[in-house]
Amino acid sequence: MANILVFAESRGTDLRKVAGEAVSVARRLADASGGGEVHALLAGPPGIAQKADVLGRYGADVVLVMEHTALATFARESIAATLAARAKAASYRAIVLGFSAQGRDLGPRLAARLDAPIASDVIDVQVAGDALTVKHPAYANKVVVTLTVTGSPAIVSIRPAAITATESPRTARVETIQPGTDPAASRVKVTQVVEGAKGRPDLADAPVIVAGGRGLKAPENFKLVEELADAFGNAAVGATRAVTDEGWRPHADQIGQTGRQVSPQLYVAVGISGAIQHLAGMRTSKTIVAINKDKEAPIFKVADYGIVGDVLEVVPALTSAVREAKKGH
Amino acid sequence: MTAQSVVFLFVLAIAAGIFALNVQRLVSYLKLGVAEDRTDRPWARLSNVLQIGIAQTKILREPIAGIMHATIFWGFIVLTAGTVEIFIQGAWSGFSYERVLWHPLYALYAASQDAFAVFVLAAVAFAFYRRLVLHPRRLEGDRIEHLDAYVILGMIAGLMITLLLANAFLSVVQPDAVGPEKFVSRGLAAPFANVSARSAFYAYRTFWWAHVFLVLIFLNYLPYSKHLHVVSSLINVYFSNTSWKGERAVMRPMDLEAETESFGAADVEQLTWKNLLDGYSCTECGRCTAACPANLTGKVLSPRKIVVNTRQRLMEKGPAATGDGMAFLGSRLVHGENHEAAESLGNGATHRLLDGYITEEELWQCTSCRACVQECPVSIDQLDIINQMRRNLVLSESRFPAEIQPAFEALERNGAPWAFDAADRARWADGLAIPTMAELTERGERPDVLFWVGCMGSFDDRAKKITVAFARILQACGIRFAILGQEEHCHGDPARRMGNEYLYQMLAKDTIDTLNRYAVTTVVTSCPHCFHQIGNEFPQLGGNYEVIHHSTYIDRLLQQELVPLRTDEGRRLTVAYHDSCYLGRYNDIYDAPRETLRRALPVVNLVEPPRARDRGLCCGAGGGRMWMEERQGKRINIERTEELLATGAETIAVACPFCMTMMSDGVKAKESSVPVLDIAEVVASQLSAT
Repeated sequence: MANILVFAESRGTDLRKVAGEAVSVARRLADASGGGEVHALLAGPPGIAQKADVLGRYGADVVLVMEHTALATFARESIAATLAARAKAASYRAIVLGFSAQGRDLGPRLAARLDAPIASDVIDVQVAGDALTVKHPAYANKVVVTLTVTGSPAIVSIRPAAITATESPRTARVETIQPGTDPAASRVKVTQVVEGAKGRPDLADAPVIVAGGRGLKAPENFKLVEELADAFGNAAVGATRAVTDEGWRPHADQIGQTGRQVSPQLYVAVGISGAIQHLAGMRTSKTIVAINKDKEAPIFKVADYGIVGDVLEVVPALTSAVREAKKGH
Repeated sequence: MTAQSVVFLFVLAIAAGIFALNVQRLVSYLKLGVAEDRTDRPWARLSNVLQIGIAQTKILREPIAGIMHATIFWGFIVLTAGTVEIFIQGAWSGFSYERVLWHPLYALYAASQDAFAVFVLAAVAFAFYRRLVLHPRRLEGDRIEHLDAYVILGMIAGLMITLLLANAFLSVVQPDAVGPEKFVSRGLAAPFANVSARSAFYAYRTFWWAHVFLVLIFLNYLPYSKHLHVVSSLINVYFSNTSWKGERAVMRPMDLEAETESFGAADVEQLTWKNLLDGYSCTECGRCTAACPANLTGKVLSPRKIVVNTRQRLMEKGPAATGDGMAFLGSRLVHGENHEAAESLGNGATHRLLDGYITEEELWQCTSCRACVQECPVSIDQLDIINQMRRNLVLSESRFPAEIQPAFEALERNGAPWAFDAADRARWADGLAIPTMAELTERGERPDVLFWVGCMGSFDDRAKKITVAFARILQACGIRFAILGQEEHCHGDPARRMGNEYLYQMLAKDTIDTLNRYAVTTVVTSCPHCFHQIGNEFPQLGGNYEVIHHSTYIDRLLQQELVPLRTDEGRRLTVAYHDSCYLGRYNDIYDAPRETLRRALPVVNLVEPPRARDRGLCCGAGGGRMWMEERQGKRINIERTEELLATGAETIAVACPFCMTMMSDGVKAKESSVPVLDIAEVVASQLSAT
């Protein structure tokens, strides 16, 4: 029996999706090691305590709530000190966090403070007896490395969107705790927060990407791609080089050898023929769906599912089908 | 000796002395560059001087400006004989070649002087008209550049006029001294027939001295002018390596183990003396920039600017480095092009050729198509400077467009510029019964040729069809060939062109090991980049193979009637062939792909866009541009596709997988339905069914 500590990441008063994933992973580890408890640290500005229920739904037994106005932005030093103090005070088998911007910062700090082992960018964790094994991709996702982590607590940062959060509902006990150090006294000051594109997730961490190519014929037809992405709810929108060259989409949306290199769970290629430049940026996606009127298009060679047809007809039909399916949930 | 002779010799000595000092100064600047031996093949070099220099073959590629220049140039050669005569007269009054030459020869000489003086005047008049009225775009320059041109043209006109008038007045004074051969001078003298002998004599003396002074001023003006090319260009043509087929395009060898603080060139002293001599030889005619695909499509790269700025930086650095006290000249006399960056940097420690005069952005816009080198009338190698500077950016400073990082990484890890599984390399051959070298070796057999497929041909879905088409032709002709299969990986050429010599040598040496292990002697390939790299550049690393591009190979098979073609001639198809730079300007292969098309399609109508053969416009993918974004101006492939579509062709033919990608994209962007086919696909489609 061993307890697991989780850092439940938030931004402002909102939980980040990876928080649920981290708690869910911790729940599984705790159960597998003989039914320990999952303790989740929830740090944020006043009002964050309301989110404790959500963590309970994913299986947190105890939610350690730390509220402070200075926690409205990520206070790395204070949170690291709090987690480290907690880990020293109680015995944890593992500390789980997201391999996100925050987690990439906290993980090494904790490892140093606790002199503990760390496994980063993990896509799977298993515990069997004393052995904690993790999997993490290397060489641009070409290989998956399996590592056994010895020593306790093992710090594990999980890749966002790689592990599906499963619910394990319970009523979490809420404990209010004080920050390990004053979050307002941090040596790092956030002077400005620049908002990225609103609404859709970034290409790098979206589990679903809908990308459009020249097959859409005209810039106004790109809204079909956006509608399909919105129907998924968690999808980002990408484009081919031809499309960004034509100025239909900003250059930052380009997926390919010379643009963004992505590997989502689901990649929907709309009107994309699959030039080598594009394939080099998305061929490692888990599931690829291609819609193109030319059945000889190379994209079908890498696609798991292909629809040969006019994108202007197929995509709206697919969008309504996705909406229907989502309603059913 | 007369007083006049003494004065003349004194003036001559001073002028010659100053000129000698200037030459010495310019030579001392050249010595700042890296040493390089260019004394091999003297006869071939001399032949270049005779053709490109004396016969003006490159200048004449542009007929109108060419004839204008050639007239002035040949005029200079002819009239120099006259200048020598005049100088002898200076020392020995009353001297004439008539005294020493056989009369008919003298008559020819005398007539030539007058005739060429008039030809040169006409050419100078046209040059003024061209600069002042026609304003060709390639002659664009700043105020100093234009002023320099007018001064020189004015001086040339002055030289001709003073020469003719001196002779004219001499004929008034002394009719015997100017024979009927000097018909122009005699004609000019007619209105002055009644001038008193004394006045005519003074006029003769005045024009004679004016001519002598102009010659000496001209000589001493040159070192401060772009017209230094009058002195340097023949020397530059002699030492240039831009003529030898294939070899001219081989990038410089590089010793990566050398004890050096930096690789490549960031400033003039890291270039070789020959690169610096290129700077002295540039007359800023702009033919290179007018042919540059990047510049044509609105990008900042200008090969002329690369050379001019190299010279300008040398003129700035030279006085400081040699301590010759000439720093005061600054850039007042030797100008550069658009180097705002240099002025804003001031004289800080970072002030140098790279960044100060030539920006990173310009260097990465180059497609390595060699159009600039091809066009240069004085054999300047602009690309050599660009390549050395790219090496510095990548190897010493790790500065390159972020989007080529994935290409470098994939080359290193996957052995191809895209991150595809090496295990999938030979998947195109599944079910085609093509043996690998390993399989043949195990059976104790050897193939006639090795088919080097290349990364595009192995992984790009469109290019794989070319690969299969070529393999089918080889099989139909009964050629015993093999592939390396999974043992093939990129030879590193893209890395080399993008300045990453380290990565290149790693990949190239490994490839040579593989080829040598199988004792490969003959290689065929459908990729011009592989063809050039393995055939021309591998010898630098000790790999020597006969490499044949598929255009040449298929053409030979067709000539030998080994290809079983369908007998029906099909319909008459209009085809435009797009020249690959690495076949054409790199290796002089222009006819083989065209002949292949003609032999395979007996009734074909081959059409040519205005830019064809050695003037062909690059597709835009060379020099690693395939893996970079085209951020500025019009896309090169669109420009080229428009040119090809304008021919009215029903099919565009290519002989390179990179051209294939660029032209196919261009045709799609133009929403045209004209198919783009590789010549191998055209031939394969004509194979008889059996």
